[in-house]
Amino acid sequence: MTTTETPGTLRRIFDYSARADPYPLYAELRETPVALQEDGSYVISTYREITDILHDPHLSSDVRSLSRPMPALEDGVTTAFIKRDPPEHDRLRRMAMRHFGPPHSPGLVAGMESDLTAAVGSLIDDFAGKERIDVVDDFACPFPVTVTCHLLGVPREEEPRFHVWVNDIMNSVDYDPETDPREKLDKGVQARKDLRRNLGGLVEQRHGRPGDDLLARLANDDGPDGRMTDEEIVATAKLLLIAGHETVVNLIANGMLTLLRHPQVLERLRHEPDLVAPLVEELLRYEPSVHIIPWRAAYSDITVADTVIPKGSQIMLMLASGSRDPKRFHDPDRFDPDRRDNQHLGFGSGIHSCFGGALARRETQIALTELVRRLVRPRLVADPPPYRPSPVLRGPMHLDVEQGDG
Amino acid sequence: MTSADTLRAFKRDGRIVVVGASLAGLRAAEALRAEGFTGSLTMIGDELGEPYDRPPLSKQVLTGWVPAGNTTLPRRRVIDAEWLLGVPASGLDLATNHVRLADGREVPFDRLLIATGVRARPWFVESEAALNRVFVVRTREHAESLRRALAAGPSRVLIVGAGFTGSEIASACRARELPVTVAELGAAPLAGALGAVIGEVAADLQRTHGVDLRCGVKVTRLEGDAQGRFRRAHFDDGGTIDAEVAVVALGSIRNTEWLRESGLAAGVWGIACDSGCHALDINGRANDDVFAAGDVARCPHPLYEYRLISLEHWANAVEQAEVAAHNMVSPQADHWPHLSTPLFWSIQFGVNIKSVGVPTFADEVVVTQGSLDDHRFVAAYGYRGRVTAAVSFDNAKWLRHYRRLIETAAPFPPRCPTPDQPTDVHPAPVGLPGPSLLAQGATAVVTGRTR
Amino acid sequence: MHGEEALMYDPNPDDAQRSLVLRAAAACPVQAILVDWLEGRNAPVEASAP
Repeated sequence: MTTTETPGTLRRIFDYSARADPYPLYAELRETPVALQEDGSYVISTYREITDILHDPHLSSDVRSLSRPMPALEDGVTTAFIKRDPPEHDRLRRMAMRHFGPPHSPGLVAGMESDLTAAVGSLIDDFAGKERIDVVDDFACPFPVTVTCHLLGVPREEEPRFHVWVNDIMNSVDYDPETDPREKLDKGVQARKDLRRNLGGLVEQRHGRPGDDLLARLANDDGPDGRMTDEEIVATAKLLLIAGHETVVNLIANGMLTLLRHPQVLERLRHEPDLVAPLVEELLRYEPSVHIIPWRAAYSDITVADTVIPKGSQIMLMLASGSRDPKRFHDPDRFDPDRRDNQHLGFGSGIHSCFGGALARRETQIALTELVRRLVRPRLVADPPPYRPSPVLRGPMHLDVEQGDG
Repeated sequence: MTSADTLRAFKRDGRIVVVGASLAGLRAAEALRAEGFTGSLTMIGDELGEPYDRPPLSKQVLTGWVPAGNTTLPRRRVIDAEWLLGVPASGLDLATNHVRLADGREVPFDRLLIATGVRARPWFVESEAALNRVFVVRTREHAESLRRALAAGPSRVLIVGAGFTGSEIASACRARELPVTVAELGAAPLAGALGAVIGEVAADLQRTHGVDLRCGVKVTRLEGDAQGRFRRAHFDDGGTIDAEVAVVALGSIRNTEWLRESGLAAGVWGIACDSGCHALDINGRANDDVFAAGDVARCPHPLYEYRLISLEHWANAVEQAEVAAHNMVSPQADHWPHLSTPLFWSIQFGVNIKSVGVPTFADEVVVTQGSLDDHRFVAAYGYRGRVTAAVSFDNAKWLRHYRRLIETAAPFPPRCPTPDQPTDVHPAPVGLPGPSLLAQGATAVVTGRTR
Repeated sequence: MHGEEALMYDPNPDDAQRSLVLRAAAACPVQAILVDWLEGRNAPVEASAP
């Protein structure tokens, strides 16, 4: 059923004041599962409808499917598979996955175990004795870029530049023309250019030099689908860096926040390491890092919940709302790490579901396990903490924690 | 005493007997306990040992990765039952509510669940079937014997029948790099279940993986040597093939012989039921106390004009078992209908084949996404202009959408284009074989009305 | 994995694989992996006496 709901709800969700707790607003939104907006776009907020449409082959991730074109951030640049449709999407994702996971590279994420543990350990070593730490700045933020750089094969000395570029890009994603200086956007555009150029150089160097890192494998591979072009490799690498950054930062920060709010669960995790796997799944449902898929397009007419969404329409998917849908999850607003039947939307769903999911899980599992193990009586300083601006990639800007027996 | 009181008393102290202790029987037993049944539960099965899972028997057990004994089914909960294993049921007396076992024992019941499943159809000449190194694959023991024979490195394996089981076994043999000849009576592998168009893809898949595939060919004789070991097969065209192992994969026979005198509507296509899994008698009346679930049952399905559908599907066994168990201990008003859309999968030659609906209930098929040549696609089946089934090769994520098309009787062919729609593709006749071949290879069979 | 999509697994992996199995079960997007928590078993491995 479609009605144009009071324009208020979505606008209120996007307003910064809702950032600390958007969940009651999601519940309001769910009263109209498929909601036509004033601008002709559709917002879908219930579990069943979100999963139905994410499994509908008429849903497109390609900007060209929109009847109202979207301004491009960069012109003439090869798009990564995230913004493509089958069959091209499938081909590119397959080629990237070939070197990232099973069947061809089954041990890749498992093989990073010691790298991940070492990175986590060394970050914690740096603040282990301090009375007050910021989980975001001191831990969650540096971690994923380091991991992705190792994965790609970025030389150690280049890493700091990658941290800066990714940071600038992520800042520009939040750009609000009404409140932010134009420079914020420009810095992001420049960072994208610099990142692309640097990655391009790294890829070129690897031609004819087989190696173990992902860039080398992609640059030298000749699998059944052939080899990616250099532009495609750069686009893929950029995707991994950006898609794998703030999402993981937020997941770790959201995770620590949730554990600090549920001290009994935190205590359990210290004594039951096996709990971390279902716990992270529950986190992906209850306090995910990606709340919204901002846009998809109807390649042709799409029917969802008795509504026909016309070809070319823009569609927004409220993933975190779906993950709290009482029609799907029993007691959805309860954080329950023992929850069975947890098919959450934390990694999306369907053919575009998070490519880096296995790595993100392992990063988060190790990070949270080590944090709870090594922090001494951690306490939240401010609840709620200050949040990042984005309602899409939602997480604390800072997560100040006091520890020790002082 | 009201019927509610009777039911309550039954749920507390009644006797339930489950004949058939494999997947459906086990899941039903677990569901009964989950529903709060605290009476006595007796599990009767002709196989010794823990209930086990069959899909691995034609795949990872044959390649040698997983030992046959490691296929035990995981348990959802404690069952607390009496297990009478190793002796098959031989009769059912509905006048006195007793199950008779082959050793003469009589087991009384208040309510009964029949889940006796199917057995492999043996080679049609008994003396040839008894030759050394002629195999069927249905049980753990079968799979273990075949595995051992394959591990010995036979010069060639002959597989008779290219349905799902035969094809999976061929795949396992090729994974072991054994020379394999597959002899199929129909026009193509899997054609009995998925039609000729998709069958052609399956044929291509087999040949790409080095299978010596022979279609439209009938094996007339399995010949042994002086030591009684299989050595050669004869075809109806006069040709022969030398091989050291023969696997007969000619479908299944429903285990209903033991019900011959019972008065139930039980025959070669299984036991007729209503949509609540109540077994029907030969007059078409539903029996309040006798239920059926799994491969042995045939139930009416609203999506298929309420014709009786017989499914040899893993998912169906589990779902029907849960419906039957619930209905066994619930008041009439709370009974569940078994309505879920059939679902089936097969893993072979590096491909994940998955289907929803009943592909044999169709007159046309069209490729809606992907490419047949790439062995990566989705095809939809239609009957009189409505979608009735879909099959995917390495494209399973889309089937959820097609299931909805089936459940809403959406128009066929599907109207709206998708980004990966093949250009210039039109619906074609499905190309299902005639009735004489239907017994072999189809895992979803439309078996007519109530008899 | 078998090919690019199909998953086949060892239904009875040994205990050394325990945490890997738990992680895989938690991560399965359709929650299709059933993990058996029970220690005891009730079906006898020999035929019961008449």
